[in-house]
Amino acid sequence: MHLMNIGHTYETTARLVRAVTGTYPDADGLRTAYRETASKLRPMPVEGDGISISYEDGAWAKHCMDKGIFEHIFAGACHSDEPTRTGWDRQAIEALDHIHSLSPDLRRMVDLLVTDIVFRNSGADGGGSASQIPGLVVTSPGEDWQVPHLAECLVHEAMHLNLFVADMVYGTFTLPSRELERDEYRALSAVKIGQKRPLDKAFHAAIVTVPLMYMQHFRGVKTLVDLYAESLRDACADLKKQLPLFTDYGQMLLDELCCFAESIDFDHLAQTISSPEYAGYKPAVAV
Amino acid sequence: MNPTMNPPAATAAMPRDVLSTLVAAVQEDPQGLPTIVQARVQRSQEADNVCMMGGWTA
Repeated sequence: MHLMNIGHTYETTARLVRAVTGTYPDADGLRTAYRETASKLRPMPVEGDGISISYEDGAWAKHCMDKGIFEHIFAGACHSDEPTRTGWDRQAIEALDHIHSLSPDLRRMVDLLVTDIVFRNSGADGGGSASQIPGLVVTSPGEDWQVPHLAECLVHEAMHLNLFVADMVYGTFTLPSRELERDEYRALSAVKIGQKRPLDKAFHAAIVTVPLMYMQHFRGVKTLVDLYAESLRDACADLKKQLPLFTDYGQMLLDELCCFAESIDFDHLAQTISSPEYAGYKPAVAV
Repeated sequence: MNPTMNPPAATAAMPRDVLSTLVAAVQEDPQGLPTIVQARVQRSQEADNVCMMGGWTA
């Protein structure tokens, strides 16, 4: 799967950097160049070299609340005390190490694409990311979350961010997001099982089940694998009905997703994360 | 088909020189591509801010 592949993520990000900044980055400077690019595209710049962490009283939380972004996560949220924040900070570091232990290249993907994490105490546990805020991940950790849960959240959101970058560079759909909300374009969600969602959101949901299943499978947990194996196949069948609304690139991603849904082959998936076979994509330009 | 439950064999990370080659190859893109991407980025900035959020645990 191209979208799971670190080489494809790097080349796609490099194309975004070139388009926005006018300069070609090299691999060693790509992370810095992407941060410069993200700073041009979002309301507030990227600060520092690492992943910045903030909380409900930080600038990003205020921005999201002011603009009504991620209301599901911010609604009902309460103040986080110092021990809670210290615990989140520590868990974030351990989560990144956990990702690395499962897959160094998924860690590379998170390191490249995630610039900020906002932690909030909310009644709803989960995470969020947005197309016009590259690099930002918002998360409301569940009370029973341990390091693997946060690790899965970070990879989950990094995959959303990856798909947003790919959409800017290659285009995924032939219609804008608002048009894809129409009833006739909706498709089953692999995550909100049984629900029809706008096509782009259903596609995102299907894509991000893959790394989640992979990470849980790799550590010997069946929860999400059992939950999503069937729902992903159903979602893929429904997404394929909307094939004309996908660009050539989007159809390639969908085709690869459907193949995985039929096989649920985690050994093959591990190869697609790191093999050059799933990189080197050359977008065509109409003449 | 039931998915297998054996952890996959360890896969080596993509070598650094392969990543470097892939990123460098972007310079060989068709001349018009950056302009096309710029237009897509512009449209993305002018369109709705697509928010993906939710919980995913069972």
